[in-house]
Amino acid sequence: MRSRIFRLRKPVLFFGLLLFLFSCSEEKEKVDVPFSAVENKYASYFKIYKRDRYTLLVTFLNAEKTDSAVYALFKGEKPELQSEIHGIQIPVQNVACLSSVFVGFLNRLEAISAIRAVDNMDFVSNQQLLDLSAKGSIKELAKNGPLNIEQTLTCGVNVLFTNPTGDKKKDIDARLLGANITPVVCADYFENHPLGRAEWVKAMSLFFGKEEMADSLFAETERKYFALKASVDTVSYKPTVFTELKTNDTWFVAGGKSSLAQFLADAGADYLWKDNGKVNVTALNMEQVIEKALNADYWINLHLSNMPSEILEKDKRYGEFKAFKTRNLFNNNRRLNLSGGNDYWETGLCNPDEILADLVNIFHPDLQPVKELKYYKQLK
Amino acid sequence: MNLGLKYLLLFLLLLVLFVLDLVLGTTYIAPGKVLEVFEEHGSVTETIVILGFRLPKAIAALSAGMGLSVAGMLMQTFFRNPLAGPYVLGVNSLSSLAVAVFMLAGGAGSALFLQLGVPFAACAGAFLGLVLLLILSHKIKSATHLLLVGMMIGFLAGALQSVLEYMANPSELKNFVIWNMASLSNVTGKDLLAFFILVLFSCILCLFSIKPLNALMLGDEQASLLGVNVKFARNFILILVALLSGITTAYCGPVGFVGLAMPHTIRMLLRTTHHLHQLIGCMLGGAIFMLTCDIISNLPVFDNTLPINVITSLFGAPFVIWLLFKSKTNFE
Repeated sequence: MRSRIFRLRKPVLFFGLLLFLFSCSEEKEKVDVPFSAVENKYASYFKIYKRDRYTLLVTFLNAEKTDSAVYALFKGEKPELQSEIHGIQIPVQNVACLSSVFVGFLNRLEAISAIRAVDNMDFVSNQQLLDLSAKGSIKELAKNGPLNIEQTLTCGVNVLFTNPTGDKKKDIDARLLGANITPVVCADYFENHPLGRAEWVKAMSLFFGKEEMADSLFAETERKYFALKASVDTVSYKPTVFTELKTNDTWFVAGGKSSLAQFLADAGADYLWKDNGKVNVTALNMEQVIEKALNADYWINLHLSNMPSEILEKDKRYGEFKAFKTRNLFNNNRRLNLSGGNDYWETGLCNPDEILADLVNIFHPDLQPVKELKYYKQLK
Repeated sequence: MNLGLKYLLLFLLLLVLFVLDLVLGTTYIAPGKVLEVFEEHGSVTETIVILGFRLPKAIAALSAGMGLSVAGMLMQTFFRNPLAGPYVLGVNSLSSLAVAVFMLAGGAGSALFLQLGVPFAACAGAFLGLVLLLILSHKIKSATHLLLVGMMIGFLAGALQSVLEYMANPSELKNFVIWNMASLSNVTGKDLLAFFILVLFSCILCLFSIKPLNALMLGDEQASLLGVNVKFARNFILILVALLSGITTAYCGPVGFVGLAMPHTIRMLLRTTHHLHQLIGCMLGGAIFMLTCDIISNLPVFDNTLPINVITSLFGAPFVIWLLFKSKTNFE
């Protein structure tokens, strides 16, 4: 009971804070209008509230949404804000991206030139950014491990797009705030619908004053996604699919309510663990996977493998699967950069319609929505 | 109860556990179906689960148990230290470090080279650890101090390993982390056959060290007076320990506590200091212990495979604590 109250306390506090802010602001800013929430269609780990002088972006910091960070994005003069709200003047000119998916979003928003630093250039596939890096214009802030605070403080960025670690103090480091660097914590990977993650382009667009562009981009992505989904809705044959390879003794498969499971369902495939009701990955052992997936039609997302022989080198028993024997092996590593970074995680996740087109092509080749796979390749 | 009967009981227990390891697992397969698999009448799925997964795992458990337990017995006599064991005295840590150097510092190129290089690196690391301990054991007479030094070697190797992990590229790191987690189910096919034969061969070689081991219990001088070439015997035992510990670490990763706990259990059970009986007892006891751990780690109640090191530590650590309480005066 006590823990439930504790869990409820933070959202209640947050909405209390919004109400308080609203009531205080009404007195100080007579001309301002009340907050209007911008409804997300799929994303649930960020919220946007509009006022005429600034926009509030709320990002949730954990899967349970019990903790959040609030950012007020304003143009011109900084409005009066509660101390818990981080004010950011827009458009931002100097940002750091600590995950390659943020590079993908900024690429969609044509804002690559604002990037001054990334976590590790090895993971980046964007040519414009690679060129900038070659000229020495891009810093690497987490090349071999955790964020290097000293380098971050001196790299000249104002905004740091990062993922949550589960520790708010660590995520929103006071040392960075003191140096006028605001960590914007984005839990985009908690989204369990592919379009939910893509919708984060709307949140990112706020920092560059490109909301209309983001709305238009997302609407086009959504349209294409559902057109592809509709094309397989009438197909009666749904091939069975399983994913991943085992790591040591454990075979981590995507949960039945995960983004990947949604992709597979929308691509007209029968994912073998679709009914397990889990959002997160499920840990199984090889016995359990053999029992269920031995005769599955397709096997996808095979870690770093490029050829069937590489899979067999890891474990000869993989050769017993029907999908292996029929070579229905597809991996999402078609677009690797020279350092091994995978563009699937950079532009792919921002363009779920393109991933879905690949998957529809794989499972229903007769429909062939695209001539050539973009992110996936068949292991031959 | 005479020794022969004890051996028979241990052997029967080993057989029962081996069969249980084939029957029990995270997926339910009726015992009758297991028999059908061996009669070549089983379904494809059951055949792959039993012959492709459970049987190799059981043989790997048996081999790892024998190898580590015998290595522990040799080390305890060699150092005349009841707390000696490949895991405790830093031998496994140096073995892991050597594999880390090989896998993370650019040694492992092709898969074949990786397959050949890892066992070699693991054995070389184990041998280096033992030589280091041997040199230190001449300088440090206190068993407690030697134990502490062994632990420090382990920490030092662990720290160097962390540096290598920190600097490694993600794919190399992943391979190493997987190896370092220890597993019985990754050894299959020819590797399994090689593993089993090498352990068995090393155990057979141990038969030639029985007399020196019995003599060394009395001290180096007494052993010399009994006609043992102490220097040769020490080197021979050292190579045997490096082989047993290194081979097991190479194929299964660093497995803890078996080498420490089993020799004591066997000595208490068989009530003998004769190393021939200890050798046979450790082979049987180590295999029994690892098979038991493997059965527990794959019980259907866990819904997944628990890491083998978790189970060996769950059994091994309380045993060591009990041992310390029971015999604390002996370690002063």
